[in-house]
Amino acid sequence: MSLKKGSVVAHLAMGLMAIYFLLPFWWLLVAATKDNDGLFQSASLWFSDFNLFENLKLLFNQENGIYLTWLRNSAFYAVVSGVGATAISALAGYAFAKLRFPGRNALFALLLGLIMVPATALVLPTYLLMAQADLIDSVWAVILPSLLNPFGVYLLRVYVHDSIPEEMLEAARIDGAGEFRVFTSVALPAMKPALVTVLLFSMVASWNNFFLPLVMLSNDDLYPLTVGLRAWYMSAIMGNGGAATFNVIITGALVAIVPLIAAFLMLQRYWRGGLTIGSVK
Amino acid sequence: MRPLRPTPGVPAPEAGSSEPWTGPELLNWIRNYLNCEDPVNLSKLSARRVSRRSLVAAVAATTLALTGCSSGGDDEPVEKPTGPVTIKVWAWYPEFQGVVDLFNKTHSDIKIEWTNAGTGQDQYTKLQTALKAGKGAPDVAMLELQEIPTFQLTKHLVDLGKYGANDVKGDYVDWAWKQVSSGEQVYAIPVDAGPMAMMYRDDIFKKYNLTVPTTWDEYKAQAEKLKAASGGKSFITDFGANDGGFLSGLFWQAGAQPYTYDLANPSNIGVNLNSAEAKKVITYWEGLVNGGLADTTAFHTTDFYNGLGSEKYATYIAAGWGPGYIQANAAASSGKWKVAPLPQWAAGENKQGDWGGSSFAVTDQAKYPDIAAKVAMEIFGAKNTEAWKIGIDKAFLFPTATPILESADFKNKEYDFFGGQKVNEVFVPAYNAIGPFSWSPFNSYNFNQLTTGLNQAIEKKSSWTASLDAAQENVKTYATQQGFKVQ
Repeated sequence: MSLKKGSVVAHLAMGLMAIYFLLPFWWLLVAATKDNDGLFQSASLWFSDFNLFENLKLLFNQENGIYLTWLRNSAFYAVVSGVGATAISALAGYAFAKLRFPGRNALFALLLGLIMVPATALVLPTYLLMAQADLIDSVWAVILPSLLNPFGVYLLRVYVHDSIPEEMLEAARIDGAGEFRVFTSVALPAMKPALVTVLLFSMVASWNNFFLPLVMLSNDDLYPLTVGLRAWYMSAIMGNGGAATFNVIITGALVAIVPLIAAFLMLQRYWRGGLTIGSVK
Repeated sequence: MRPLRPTPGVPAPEAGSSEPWTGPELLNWIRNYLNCEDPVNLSKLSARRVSRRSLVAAVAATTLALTGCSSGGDDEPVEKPTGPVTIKVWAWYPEFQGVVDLFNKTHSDIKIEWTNAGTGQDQYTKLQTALKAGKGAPDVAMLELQEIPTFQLTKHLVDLGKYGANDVKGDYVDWAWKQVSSGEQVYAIPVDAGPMAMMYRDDIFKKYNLTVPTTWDEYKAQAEKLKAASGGKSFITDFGANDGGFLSGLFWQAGAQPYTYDLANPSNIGVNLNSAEAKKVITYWEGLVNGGLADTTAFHTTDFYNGLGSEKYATYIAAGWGPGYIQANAAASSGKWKVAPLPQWAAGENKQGDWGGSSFAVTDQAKYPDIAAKVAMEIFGAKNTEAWKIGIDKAFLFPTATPILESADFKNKEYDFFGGQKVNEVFVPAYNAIGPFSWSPFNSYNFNQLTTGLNQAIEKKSSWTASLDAAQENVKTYATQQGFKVQ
């Protein structure tokens, strides 16, 4: 009986947490259906008038449809940074876990230190470096810094160290596989759940990245959604008319999170698989 | 252009917040960094504690070393251009594309390449970084008036006095010109301003038989009458303690001079945030708020717009950009508003204050500073009536150039939102009566101190004047730490 009581409490707590986390999303969903006056004059958590389709039409026509360009940019930055960061993290994490080379421990300690430096703090030094290389206001200024993901390297190193037995790699080597073959054919498939985690994390981080593109880019054709929406929002609160209004911006925010939700739903299969593999061991 | 700090909707962190990587704290960090001080306190991390912490320090030190700490720009001789020159401009004025197109159509030798690099702080962050990097900054940048000392402190603005800016001095009234210059040195060309006035709801005034107040005492009397007559449903106004520009404008009107600062003598600063005049203003509003006469909803929020559109607020202490602003955010109340001069501290006086305003400055990265200066002077210049047509009718800017202000087009413009009233008949005399006022070279810190202190006082119902005293102490300490000689 007591077990059941406990599970009721647990479910209640989880339900409350779910409501807490879903509330902002609910608000966004409701707000995206209102027109500009409705946003300010009606209850914020319930529908008043239904203008979602008008809002979408406005959104994709605002400033000659620049929202689509931003959406494409965000996707481009997220995919390239995500895949690139995952590839680099996989190589580095595997090397740290399984290969012996001089300075391994010192480099790994440095990596741990890097995890603790907030990425935002590195934006300005990065800007100065990019300025030297004449890469400011180009896609590289956003992609190159995002390729390095110390946390991903750390995560993969731990995962490889714990889940890929040395014997497996030895067996492959005895069968005549070169080091790269060992990595691609033996280690990589075993790393899949961790790779998906790192991929998802870096894609989300890149999709949400704001400060780096804000500082690096001034050409609005290169903006990702975060910076673009912020630009609209800031001109909207100037209240001088002409620019996008709040209903358009909120609809833009709603559309901006749809790809993230899709990515999570599609990739969670692998993710969950990864967690259970760990538990069986 | 109204001042944008602290960013509405993105609350500034509380003073003493442990998260230094956001908001004003980050900015201070950036400023420290740009001035090549020791932002992470490397000197305090001793070598004997070999830990992760020292690793972090090592990384930070490496990045600092990598990026280097060079000083100042070198003066290159001005080259003579061959063929048309492209001038890069950063600005966030609404409807600016039309103004740029107009300029390019009327100039064959100069082509403006306009970028909206962000509004307010977004652009400033980018600009400061680019100026420090020595690459990536535009030739001409829009700066709000209160930001000019901050940018000139690092000597990245070109002295436009060398390129004929003093010839257009006569187009601007004294206080506006002093905002952008020091003696013969001119750091920017004024564009728009925000002389303050009182907008009021004619319908509410009639409904409750209120008279339009001309002094702050009368204003309070009307507030009491309104509270009683409406059963506490309506407030005389909203006191938005989250807007440093609004507070500064009120101090300005009362004759307070929070800072004594001259760019000709950049390392000395006088700090007097808690003067008798400032305390008079603060005590007055404390009385209105504690008496339940004025609301304290933050400015530029949904609730605030809602209050303007409904019958919650009978007046709105506004600025010259207000007609466009209120029109966009409280459309429901169109036709019910009127504008009257700002109430005075003593009957018969004509003291005024300013809230917001902007200018064009030329950066030291301009290849042809003379041409960039010409652009800064002409885009929204006193003779550019065509550009100002867009500025006034579409962007709702309040011009600073006297010939534009005094033109019939501007003065006699009727505003439907104000029941056809010619509101500039109120704003223009207010603008002309404004006195000089200085800003500090660390304005984001200044605004942050003013607003966080007052917000805390309102929340905890503690003394408002004590918050001014605290701001005074904090700013003095901060200025000393930054290397200023504080008087």
